[in-house]
Amino acid sequence: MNPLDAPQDRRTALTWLIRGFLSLWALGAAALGAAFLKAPESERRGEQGRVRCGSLSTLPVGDARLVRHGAQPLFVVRTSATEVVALSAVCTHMRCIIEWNRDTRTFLCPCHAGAFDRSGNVLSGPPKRALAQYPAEIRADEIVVRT
Amino acid sequence: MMRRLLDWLEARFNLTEMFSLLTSFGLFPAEVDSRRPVREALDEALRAPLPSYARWPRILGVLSFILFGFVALTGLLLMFYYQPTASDAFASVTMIVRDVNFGWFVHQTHRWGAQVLLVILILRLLRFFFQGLYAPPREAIWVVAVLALLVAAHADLTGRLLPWDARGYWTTVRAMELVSLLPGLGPLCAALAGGTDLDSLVLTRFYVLHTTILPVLLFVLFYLHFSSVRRVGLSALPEPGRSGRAALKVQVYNLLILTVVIFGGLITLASLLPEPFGVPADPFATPPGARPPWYLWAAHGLVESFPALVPRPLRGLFLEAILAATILLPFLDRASGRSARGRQMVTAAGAAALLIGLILAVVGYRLEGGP
Repeated sequence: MNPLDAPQDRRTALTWLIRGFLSLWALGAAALGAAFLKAPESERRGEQGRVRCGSLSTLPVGDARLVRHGAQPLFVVRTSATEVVALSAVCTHMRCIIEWNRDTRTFLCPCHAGAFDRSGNVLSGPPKRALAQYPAEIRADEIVVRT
Repeated sequence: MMRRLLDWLEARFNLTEMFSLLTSFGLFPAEVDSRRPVREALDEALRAPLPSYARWPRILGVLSFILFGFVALTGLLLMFYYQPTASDAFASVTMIVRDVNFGWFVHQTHRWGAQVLLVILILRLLRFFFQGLYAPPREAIWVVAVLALLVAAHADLTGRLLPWDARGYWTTVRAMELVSLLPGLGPLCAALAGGTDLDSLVLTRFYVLHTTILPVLLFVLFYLHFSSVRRVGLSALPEPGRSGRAALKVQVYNLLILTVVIFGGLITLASLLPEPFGVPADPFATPPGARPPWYLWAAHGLVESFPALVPRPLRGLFLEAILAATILLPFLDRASGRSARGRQMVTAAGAAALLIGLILAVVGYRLEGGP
């Protein structure tokens, strides 16, 4: 290397060192901000598992009850004296919350008139998929659904 | 590639005008001619001598603006999680410092950044005073600097209540007690805050003041400050400054290094001396050592040092007189700038006032028991 070039090279190297150092700061700050903005698992979201859905005896056979649980509510339908079906209350078409029609014993979506039967199968309307089903069990007269 | 993009944008926006915004806040130290294309204007600005106000070591103004930006940014991050109601505030701040990634860090650097910003604003005011930078035509610089300090102090005060922890709550109670002494200003502040009893309504008002109104005011004051500085300049430096590209580079790198040092200091403070964040506020139990925030210790000491027969509104009036005299200093002290003797007297008076202020601050601190 030509010795005359040395100071120039040193200066370039120093300049790049400073730029690299400052870039590291910027990168660190950006990473910190991104990590901060990632919402922590809230307790409600962390409550994977059991949802208490009220007592079995207050739900007549053949009737359904809306359970207001988080942003993903569900319906419990009493199909017989001892059996309960838990269905997602979220329409598979466009995320509207479906309603229980006590007279026809079907679920009706208020947005686009999609209809589901008591097992969650599509009867009519735009929805293509059946409602999601959750395992449900009865513990000492309490309906417990695992989500 | 860059050049073509720049040309494309140049044809559609006034890039030079946008760039000159940086100058409006002291971040770019040279003047930019906003009627020329950005590259030409920058070349010209870099060749011209650096204006005297922008030379090292005149950095307190830029530094305070950089710190303001930092505090605003961390504050914005905190707003993503904070809930301004008396019932949820403490829980949401607990979540920030405990559950959110780097939440404690953002919280602590926000708090410490505000304290450092206040210190720098005070130092800047002292510099303006002792160097006589309030004589005509620089009256506006002084008035704006005092107002900026007042607004920043209010922003800090309103911020202290937001976590709704015992310390912050009682600090605010003591500070509001002091403010309520002031005839005229006290009721006005109470009306702005929505009452003198701290409840959820007051908390929401403090939140709005803290996150919107006061920062915007401070931003405007910064703009006014730099605008006035560019119009009238600061005093000339004794030695001729460097000019041209080299000087600008020195200035920019100095600023960058200083910024890194300041952030390093903030990180150190946040890690080693975290402000305690304890128990939720209880309006029915005062923790020991509840006292006004540090910038009010002197006022607190002064108010309590009067003999008992002076009625309290009169003490408040005295405080208001000091405040008014500070703001209106350039219009009260007109003659001293002309003679060396007058300057010396003002300097001596200022030093005496500073000393008395420090003593009163110690008195105010020691009035309260506890740590």
